[in-house]
Order: sequence, then C-alpha cells, then structure tokens
Amino acid sequence: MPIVVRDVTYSYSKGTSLENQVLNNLTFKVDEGKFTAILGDTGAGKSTLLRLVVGLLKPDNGTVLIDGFDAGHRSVKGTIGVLFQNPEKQLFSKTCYEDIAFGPLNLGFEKEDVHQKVLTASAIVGFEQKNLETSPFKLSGGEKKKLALAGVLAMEPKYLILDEPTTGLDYCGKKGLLSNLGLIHSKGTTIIMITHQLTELLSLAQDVLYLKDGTIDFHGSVQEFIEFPSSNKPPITHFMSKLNEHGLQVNQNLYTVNEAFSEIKSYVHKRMKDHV
Amino acid sequence: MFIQIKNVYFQYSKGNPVIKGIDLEIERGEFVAIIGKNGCGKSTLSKLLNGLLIPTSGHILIDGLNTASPSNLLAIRKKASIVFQNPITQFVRTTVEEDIAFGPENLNVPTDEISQLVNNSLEFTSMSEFRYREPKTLSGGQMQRTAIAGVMAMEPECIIFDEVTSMLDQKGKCEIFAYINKLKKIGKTIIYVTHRIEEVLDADRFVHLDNGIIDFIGTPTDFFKLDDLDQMGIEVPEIVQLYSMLYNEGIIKQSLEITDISRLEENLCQLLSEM
Ligand SMILES: Nc1ncnc2c1ncn2[C@@H]1O[C@H](COP(=O)(O)OP(=O)(O)OP(=O)(O)O)[C@@H](O)[C@H]1O
Ligand SMILES: Nc1ncnc2c1ncn2[C@@H]1O[C@H](COP(=O)(O)OP(=O)(O)O)[C@@H](O)[C@H]1O
Ligand SMILES: [Mg+2]
Ligand SMILES: [Mg+2]
Repeated sequence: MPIVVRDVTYSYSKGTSLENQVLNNLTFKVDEGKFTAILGDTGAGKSTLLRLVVGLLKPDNGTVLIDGFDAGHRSVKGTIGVLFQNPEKQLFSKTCYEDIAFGPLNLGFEKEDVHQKVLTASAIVGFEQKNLETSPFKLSGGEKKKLALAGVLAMEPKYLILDEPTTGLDYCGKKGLLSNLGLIHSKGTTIIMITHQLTELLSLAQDVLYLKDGTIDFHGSVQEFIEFPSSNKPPITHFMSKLNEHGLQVNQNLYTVNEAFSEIKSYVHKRMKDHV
Repeated sequence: MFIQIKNVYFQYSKGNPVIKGIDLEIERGEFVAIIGKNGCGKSTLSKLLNGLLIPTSGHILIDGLNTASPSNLLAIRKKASIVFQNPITQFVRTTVEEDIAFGPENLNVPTDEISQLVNNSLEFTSMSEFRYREPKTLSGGQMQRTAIAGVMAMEPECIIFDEVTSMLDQKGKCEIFAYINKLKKIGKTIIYVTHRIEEVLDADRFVHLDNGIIDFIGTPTDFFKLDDLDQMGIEVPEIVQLYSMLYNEGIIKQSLEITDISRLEENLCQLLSEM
C-alpha cells in the first residue's frame, strides 16, 4: 500500500502554552496510481497533513507510511515530489535553469538528460524559456509558481504532492497545468493535490478527502462527494440545486457547464412537449 | 482626478521595459479591476501607484502628488496602500498584532488610536484569535487575512489589492468581498488585481494589461462583448458561460445583467421555472 496514514494526531508547539492541535486521529490510504484531491476550509489542516506525508513533520501519535517506510525515510525521499503552498520557500538557485535542474542532478542524471528534463518541465507548466537564465527572485508571482512546479515535475517523481498549485496562475497556465497533470497521472503517477477550485479538480481527481477542523469529514469518490451534503459545492452544482428549489426537477449532481446545459435543454424540451 | 498615470514607462533592467506607455486616470471612489496574464505587469503597476517603484519616464500623480518626489512619499503612502500578492514576504514583526500595528506606527498615528485600529482590523478579518501568533506560522489563507488587516489599519483612501484571495476558501473570499463593498460605500478607491473574473463583475471598470500596455479599458459588460476573450486567456465565470449557451440556443430570450452572479442565478431560475 503506497501511502498509509493511520491514527495520526498532530499539534504545533506541543507541550507549550501555545499548543495547538491541528489534526485529530486521521486514518486513510491512497492507492497506487490514484489522483486524490484534498479539500477543506482555510486552517482545516490540509498543508499540515502534507508536511506529515512528506516527512517534514512527525506525528504526535500514529504512523505515516510510504511504500512501507516511515515518511521522510531516506529510501522514499527521491520518490516524492512536493510543491509547497508558498513557492518562495522552494527557490534558491542563482538562475531559474539551475533551480529546475537541481532535482534531476541530485538524482544522478547526466547533463544532457537533465537539460531535456528542464526543457520538458518548463514547457509543461508554461514557463517561458527566455526566463531560464534570469534570477528566480526577479520573477512575477505567477512565474515563481510555475518555476517551483517545473522543479518538482523535472524529477518525475512516483508521488506528486501539490499544495494549491494553480493559485496565482493565469487561465492558460492553469488549464495547461491541469491537462498535463491528467497526462502525468495517466502514465501511472500517484497524485495528491490540495485546492479550493473545485470544478477543475473534480474532472481530474478520482478520490476526494474533505478535511474539517482537523478531521476527515468525507473520503470517497468524486461522484459521492458531489452528492455529499457539504457546504462546499462547485458553482454549477450549486446552481442546479437552486433550480430544484425553484421546482425544476433537474439532476443536481453535475458540475460542468456542458452537463448542466444538456440537462436544462432536455428538461425544457420535455416540458414544452408535455405542454402541447 | 485622484490618480493620474501619464505616458508611464518602467524597466527593472536596461533594455527590458515592463510597462510600455500607460495612460490611465482613476477617480476617487472608483472600483477598478486590473486583469492580464502572468508577467504582464500588474504587480509592477501596483507598486508604481504608491511610489514603491518610480516610472523610468512619464509620471504618476496621486491626488496631485508626484510619486517621483521623495518628499511626497509619506503622504502618498497614507493615500494609497498595497496588499501584496505574497503575504509571507511582507511580515515584519513577530506577532500578528504587532505586524498590523506596524503600518499606522510608521504613519505616526497616536498609540491609543493604533490599538483601536488594530482591534477593528483583527475583528473585521476574523483574525482576533490569532493576534499573538507569529505570522509565518499561519496557514496561507490566515496570512492573507493578516496582510489585509495590516493595510486596513492604515485607513488609506485607496487600497490596491494584488491577488489577495488566491489562498482563501469560499467563506474567506466572501468576507473580503463584503469588506470591499463596505469600503466602496464609504467612498474609498479600490484597485483590484486578479485572475478570477467572477470576483470583479461589479467593478466600475476593467483594465486589461497585455505585455505592459493597456489593450482594454471599459465596463465589465463591454468587456464580455469582446469576441477574443479566449485568445486573451480570460476565464468567463461558469454561470455566465451557461447563460450564454442557453441564450445562444434560444432557450433564454432575455438579455440579463451579468455583473452580479447571485442575481444572474436568481434571474435564470425565475425564467426557467416560468417556462
Ligand atoms: N524585481 C524584478 N526585477 C526584474 N524583473 C522583474 C522584477 N519583478 C518583476 N519582473 C518582471 O516584470 C514583468 C512583470 O512582472 P509583474 O510582477 O508586474 O507581473 P504580474 O502581471 O503581476 O504577473 P503575475 O500574474 O504572475 O503576478 C515580468 O516579466 C517579471 O519577470
Ligand atoms: N508552524 C505552525 N505553528 C503553529 N500553528 C501552525 C503552524 N502552521 C500551521 N499552523 C496552524 O495550523 C492550522 C492548520 O494549518 P494548515 O495546515 O496550514 O491549514 P490549511 O492548509 O488547511 O489552510 C491553522 O490554524 C494554522 O494557523
Ligand atoms: Mg494550506
Ligand atoms: Mg503579480
């Protein structure tokens, strides 16, 4: 079992007056090759959970296992690629090129291979080649985000762990990234991704883990999540349920514009037929 | 005119202009949205507006004060403040509370007034329970709220928001929008940079930047009439997309106001249920 989180509890500043329990007895598994979305309000504990999974934090209680090893163990390090919420934390080289090349070089790849990986990863996230020789600190916010992402993707990790990767990206960047994540996933990569943007994610992910105040409020398939009476609904789902409140018997469990359009269209046509 | 931008050019390094000839006037009390792709110059323009950056050529007047003159700087900061895109880079103190006090202290606000300002800002952004926390230990959304509270406490006439909701959940966003609405009502000028169009449908004007120049200025309604929104890389809000599809199909025949999503939803529900 690739990622196993069992009975995990975590508090920041444990044993001090500022002790703050953030995660409470979490248990879940992520199967190999799955694409899991982690959702939840600000402060729910999503980023904390990621830090535990990549071994940056140790649980107070319980275990986090990656391929049977403790998270953070030497033998799993190279298999996990992580993008933190704040890209600034991940940029440290003199040029953007060096920043992206850092991971693959560390994994022992030859210069030519590394070069290819840098170019491929930049293309995937839409990072402009002309910026490769500039300093990471001279980039705009969105460009920094793309750079940090390219650095993670260039390692071609077995597990890809992303904390709000689309924030700060423009529409083209976001669309491009999401479709490429779909591709990377289809080639067998296990992906865990935190986001607030439901619609895009739901068309990619298979599982949803919904965190609320440090506990798992929901864990199941995307379709089950859409039907789950939580407060967070994608805009289209929200609108379809509003239509229902207005007496239109349409399927509420949809989340794409196209699905909603077809549903409303056939409903209206049926209504018209019934009238005559 | 409150803000005057006249033929402004700006470059960070020689030979690479980032802002390439911008003219824009903003009236007191206006709500202006600035949109455009990554790297087109939105944050640079924001920083030019409160004197953090100075035009390479051309000039910017804030309430008549030229940003290029160092002696105007303090007065300009009182008039226009920025909430930055990346909050983690702007925290200066070790507790949330002190960080929020930093702005008004620098503007020489009397101490007893500062604590009142800090309390109000904390309460408004729902950050009171975190007042003694070290800012860099906050979650992303909490950091964004702290940054907003910090600017609020300075009570500027104009607030420039640079992608401030990117890490907020729906509830957090709604709180910020409610705050902006309040600011609008009391006549503050708002400049709002975002990639998410649905956040600014009720703006007075859209300014679209493309590679350092302005290629559209006008109302949101006129903006949505542009036929190359796709090439421009604009994400039309889903409910607006759905409405357009229903309209083009002839199912909805009325042309509806799109500047308020919940009203648009309500109108669509009404029309569809009367069919
Ligand atoms: N300190 C700097 N030194 C040199 N170049 C810079 C600096 N800051 C920004 N730039 C460059 O100026 C251009 C405009 O950057 P700016 O931050 O204004 O973009 P933006 O529109 O805010 O983008 P985003 O949507 O990604 O935040 C970009 O090409 C960027 O790489
Ligand atoms: N280093 C830290 N020290 C103390 N509290 C922290 C630290 N990091 C996060 N927290 C707190 O833990 C809670 C969960 O944070 P986080 O996991 O970042 O939430 P999310 O990613 O779901 O927004 C928040 O209340 C946050 O303030
Ligand atoms: Mg987070
Ligand atoms: Mg920016």
